Amino acid sequence: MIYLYKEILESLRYKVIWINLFLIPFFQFAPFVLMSADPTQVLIGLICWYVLTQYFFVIPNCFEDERINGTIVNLLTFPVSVVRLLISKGIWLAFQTIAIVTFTLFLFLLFNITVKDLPLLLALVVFDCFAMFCCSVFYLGLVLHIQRFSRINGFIQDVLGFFSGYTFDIRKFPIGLRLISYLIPLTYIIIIARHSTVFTPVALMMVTILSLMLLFLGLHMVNQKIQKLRSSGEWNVW
Amino acid sequence: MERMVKHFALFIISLKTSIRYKTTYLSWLLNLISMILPALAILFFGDLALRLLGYVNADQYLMFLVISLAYWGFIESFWSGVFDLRDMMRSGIIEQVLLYPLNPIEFVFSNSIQSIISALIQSVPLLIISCIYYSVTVSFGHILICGVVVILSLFANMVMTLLLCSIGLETAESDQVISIIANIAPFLCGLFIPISMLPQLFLPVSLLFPFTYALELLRYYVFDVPTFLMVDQTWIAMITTTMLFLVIGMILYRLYLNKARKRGFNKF
Repeated sequence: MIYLYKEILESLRYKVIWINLFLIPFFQFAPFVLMSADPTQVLIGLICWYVLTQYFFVIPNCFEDERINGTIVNLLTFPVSVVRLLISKGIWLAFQTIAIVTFTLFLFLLFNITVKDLPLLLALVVFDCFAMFCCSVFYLGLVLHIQRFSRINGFIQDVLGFFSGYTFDIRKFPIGLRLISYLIPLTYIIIIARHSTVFTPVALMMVTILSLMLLFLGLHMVNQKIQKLRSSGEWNVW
Repeated sequence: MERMVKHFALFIISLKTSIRYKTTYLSWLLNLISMILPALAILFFGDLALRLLGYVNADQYLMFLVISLAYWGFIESFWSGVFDLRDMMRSGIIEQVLLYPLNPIEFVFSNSIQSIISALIQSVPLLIISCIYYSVTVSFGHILICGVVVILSLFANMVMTLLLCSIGLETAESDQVISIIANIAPFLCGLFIPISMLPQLFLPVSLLFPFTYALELLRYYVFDVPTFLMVDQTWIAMITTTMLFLVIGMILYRLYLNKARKRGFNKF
């Protein structure tokens, strides 16, 4: 909780970043929403994908500054465990993301692009935050093991968005590509957000199973790497 | 002449450094592709509102996306120089750089040359692929005019970079300001959709950017898509906005540089 509080205080110190954070989604998504014949469906897909981008930017890079500044040793000797640290970052990010998503939807509303079931979408965004937190922990594990993954983070986000059908319906995919889509938790969230059907509980279960699998695998990879660093002492050689 | 040699030496150093880290080129290219991936997804698998966009067919729109992406690569390559200026401020070496024979702004532009070469490396394969995919029937005269448009808008971009550098000298959060501009500019300048489709509220801001007119002219000369203003008015507006940015950029840069010299550069 203390870490979360410090995180909030530090974030509030900088003002322009907040203007940036709140405006980015609207300006980034607006061209794709406006160029589509079905703007609402594109908007919903992009909103769900936005949660992924937030978590993938923050969680896998959370040790990057400490590594560059050489303060990672301090971080690992703190009484707060790495898991708790990641959770506190995840919670803060969830608040931030929900606020930004609400503001973005409001901006689109000003231009007559509305979402039919807003409470359902917001509830799904909260669930999306949980799922994407799990996926991003897995990606953090990958980054810690193979540092090159941090350089292609942005591109990976786009590829995941593409296969999840962020701007289209994945039913238009050839069957081979659709199989890849069904391995990504975001796909199910986008499907539920666009077409809430009788299959919703099954889709929710699929997201939960896939996300938890990735979370445990990710935590295992992170702990394994940290133990290795503790024993070898190579704090700055990643 | 001596200054030219120094610029060249700096350029060679930065080029060699970038060759050492080969992944930079790859990640830049991937970032550019990432920019248009949602649009490509709509084009191939979604429902693109082609008639609203003003294109005859999907191939034409795809071709425009590739051309505008290659063009935007050049635009963004300049802006990276502003981050160099910020890095100099953060690490506290900007005072020393001020004592060098090259001033910080020349330093930034020398670094940008390397970024432009990167942009060239990225854009040429894109243009070749698109030309193979879709045979363009553009007259030689129009290609020349497009070249003039690109060169003029690159000058406009240098001027814009000067303005951004000025902001960098004044505020510690300059990278966020650049980030805001980098994020809103593709939409407001009509990189994906013509400015006639923009909500009315954004039009005045959109018309302030010289790149808006450059993209309008490229679209007109390559695809015969009508421009928002008359063609001659678009040319005049592009030159006028460039000059406007030049004057404001030079005034602000000198003002903030003098201010920073008096009270110190480090704001972190």
